[in-house]
Amino acid sequence: MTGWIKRLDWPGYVLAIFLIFFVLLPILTVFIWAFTEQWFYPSILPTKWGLKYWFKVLERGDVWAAFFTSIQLSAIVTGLSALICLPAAYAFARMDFPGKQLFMMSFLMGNAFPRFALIISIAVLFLSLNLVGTWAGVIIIQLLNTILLMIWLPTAAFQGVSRNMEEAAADVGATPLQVFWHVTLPQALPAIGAALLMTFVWTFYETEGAWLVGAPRVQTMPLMMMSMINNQLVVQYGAVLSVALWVPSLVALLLARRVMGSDSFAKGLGA
Amino acid sequence: MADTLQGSTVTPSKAVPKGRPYGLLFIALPVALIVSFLFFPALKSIFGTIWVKQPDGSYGVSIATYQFFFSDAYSLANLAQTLWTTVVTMVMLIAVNLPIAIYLRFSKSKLAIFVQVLALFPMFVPGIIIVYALIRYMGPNGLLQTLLEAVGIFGFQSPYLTPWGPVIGMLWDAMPFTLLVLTAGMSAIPTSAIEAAEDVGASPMRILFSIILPQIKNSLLVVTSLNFLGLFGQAFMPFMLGPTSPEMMGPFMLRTFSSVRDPLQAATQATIVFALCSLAGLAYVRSIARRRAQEVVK
Amino acid sequence: MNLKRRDFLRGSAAVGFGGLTAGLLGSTAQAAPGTLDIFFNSDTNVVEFWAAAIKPAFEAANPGVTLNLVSGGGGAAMGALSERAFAALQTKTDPQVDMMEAIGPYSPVGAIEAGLWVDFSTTGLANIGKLNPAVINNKWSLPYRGSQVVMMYNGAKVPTPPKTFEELVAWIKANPGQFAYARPDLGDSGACFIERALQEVTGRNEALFTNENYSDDYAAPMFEKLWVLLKDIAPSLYKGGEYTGGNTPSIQLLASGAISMTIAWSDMALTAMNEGVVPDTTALAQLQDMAFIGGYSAVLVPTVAANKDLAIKLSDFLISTDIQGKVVTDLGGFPAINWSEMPAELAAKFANVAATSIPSFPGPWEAHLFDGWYRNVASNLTQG
Repeated sequence: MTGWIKRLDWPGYVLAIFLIFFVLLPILTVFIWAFTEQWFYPSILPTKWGLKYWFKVLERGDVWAAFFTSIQLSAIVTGLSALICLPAAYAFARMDFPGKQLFMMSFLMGNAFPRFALIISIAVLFLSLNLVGTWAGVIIIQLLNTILLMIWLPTAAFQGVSRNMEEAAADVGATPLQVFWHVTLPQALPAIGAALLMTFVWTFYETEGAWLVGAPRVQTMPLMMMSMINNQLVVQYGAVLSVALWVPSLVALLLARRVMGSDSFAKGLGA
Repeated sequence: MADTLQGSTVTPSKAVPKGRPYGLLFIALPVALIVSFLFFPALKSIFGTIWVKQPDGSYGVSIATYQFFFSDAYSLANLAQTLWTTVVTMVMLIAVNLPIAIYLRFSKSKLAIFVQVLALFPMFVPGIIIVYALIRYMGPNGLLQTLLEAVGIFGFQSPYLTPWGPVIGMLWDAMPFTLLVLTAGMSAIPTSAIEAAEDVGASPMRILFSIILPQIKNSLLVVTSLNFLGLFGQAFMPFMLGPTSPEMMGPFMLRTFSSVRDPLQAATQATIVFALCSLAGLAYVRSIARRRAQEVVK
Repeated sequence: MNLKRRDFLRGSAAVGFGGLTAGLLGSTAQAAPGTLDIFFNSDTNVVEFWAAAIKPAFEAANPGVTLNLVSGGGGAAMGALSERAFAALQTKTDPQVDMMEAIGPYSPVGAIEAGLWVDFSTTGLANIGKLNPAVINNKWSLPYRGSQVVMMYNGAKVPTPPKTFEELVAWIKANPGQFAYARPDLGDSGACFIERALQEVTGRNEALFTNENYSDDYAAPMFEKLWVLLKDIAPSLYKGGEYTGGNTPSIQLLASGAISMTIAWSDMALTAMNEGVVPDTTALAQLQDMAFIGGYSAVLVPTVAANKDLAIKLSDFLISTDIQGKVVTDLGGFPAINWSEMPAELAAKFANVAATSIPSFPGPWEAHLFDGWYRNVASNLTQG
């Protein structure tokens, strides 16, 4: 491939060492913790290992219920978000209409106002629509968080697609839909894949909206984590839950690369 | 090409109708959602900061809370601290992720997979967990200090409860997102372009500045403005990892709201944060508009 | 202290699953009839106490009623819930909040004036006469358990703990970097420390501070003295004047060995010691000249709660002799009712423990005190 990187892989080693200290060791700390019963300075490793907290967490039936609730909610929110936002992103990138820049800005500005100041008005709105404690309510409030990312990132991607190629396809008789499907979409796919992935993961771990609108009827995984970790002296519960979630996360990540298969999605993930 | 033949008034592509507001239909749903659930409440809140109850019980226009904010050394110190933290974190995010993205784009080694997995992994570690993990890792008498002392390095100064604490925490948190966006942008760069440049003897720096950066300018802009937004209002990391004072705006607003019990001043602070974040967005939109103008000229 | 955790887990599992199915099937947001949604600001040990001692007894006495105990985990989350209750008041809807534990009635601003909380002085609770008048803070909060704030220290490094506040200050200065307390708004333990310091500089006279008597002019001279004292010890604190972000970080800092002494709630400290979070050498001590400011945790009931009457009935149950006895024996807390109303053998056993009540500090003062602390003590700005 390109010579100047291939010739010497020292950048790779520098980056790897940096990431080991910056990312791997903190993650390892969480990991070790999940199997720790006691750990005091100055011991490098836990003073007492054990699976005590795994049993305590896994014997709770509500952990599993919350896990599936969260998976379903995140899938629905991500799907809905893609459905309403991707066409909008395409329109922002490729069409002209009055007030375009203003609308583009509006998504950012909608998210720029700190949420806590809106808690009362949002609560009033959801209560009067009878959405508190329902899935619909949680989906709407989480959907709001995803719109900005799901529009801005794909818009930038669609703008990056070369018009020459689209025109060439149109010139040889492709319908607009064919042009979009065979030319535009594949080129924008890496960015869309990234947006989908981030949306799913962020929604999965979202707590504020889920708590404000969902509690106490809709119990999601991170809400459960929150109540197990916040102001909790024993950090192991949280560690166990995170480590337990890493396995499905990694599998999902690898599966996404397999199933989507296309080189472009993998590229979107950085491979 | 086609453009020059058809002239500038004709649509650049048959696939995309221009001039007719079909686009409004496409964007109607997300705009409606944002307007009804975010804009409407936000405008109400902003309006509430300037249309306030007067001492005599009637309502009138007043900018007293804004005057207080901008004449209060304590509030201004907090704002300055927030700007410092945000800018430093953003610069570090780019400084860390750009090399990783470039490396991932052009390396196919096993090491690259390792680097990729590590750099994306923080995505699956919720903020609350990582805060506690970071405290145990880089905090006083933490794992890092223990390891350093084991190899004979003493005098480790923990960033916990210093301004660098939240910088490290937020850097950790925002890294996967930044990297994903940058690699997505990077994937559009044709390998042939870089190979051609190398063939004519261009240095790595020149390739970076003349080929790579212009290509991913869009991604850089998106990631910078979205990060600005996310970092500026952060409350949790500064709470847990940062110093008591000066506070970042996120914790400061929450404290003013719930502990000082001054919702009006808190809403004023929120409006000021909102105005600053909007400026960041405006910069983004303007640079996009300028770029498009240049393309038309071309 | 180690209560029947499994019972609690099973109980909440059943409720959690019921809630889930309700969410899946029904989209109408009505609280299940007979299910009381109770949100806790207190730690897990308190939720477990409810699950083991209060929930079974109340449910047995009231067939068809279920207590849904929801751990709120932290101030901001509880704040969002009281905002929701306030919004429900404005829209005349069901907030799905029947009771809130261990938060004050003063937030959201304007809630009291709008009549958000049930006024317990007019509900005619059968047991209200038993309450120790000294622990009633306001008529919307029904206190049901008291806890102390204590010095938590590593006995290996502190052989003899300070006995008076003066000695504590001397110890802090003699051992720079070894003491930390939490920011007052983030950990009540930190608040109790500076409130005790305020008592110290004003001659240890509790009567100086009441719910009604705050005014800037009245407080300013006292606060000025307090800032002097706190700024004086600041350079000797952890990292030359840093403050932790809450009760838990304080204890964790002690656990890591970075400091030798901190300020903590007695129940949290005991939990930490039982769970092995802190080294075995950890010990607790109280000041002998005047105890640290502590507090009574109370419950609030929103007037818009769907199950308001049941919630009020539960409130009365909380201050019954039976439950108050369990607060002492099972939770290690202080009763909110007079000792004369307590079971005779308990009263006799605790007769020697002089504390009939814990010194407390009026809520309306705290907003000003905490903000003043940030501006004068925590920041290096000369004028705030």
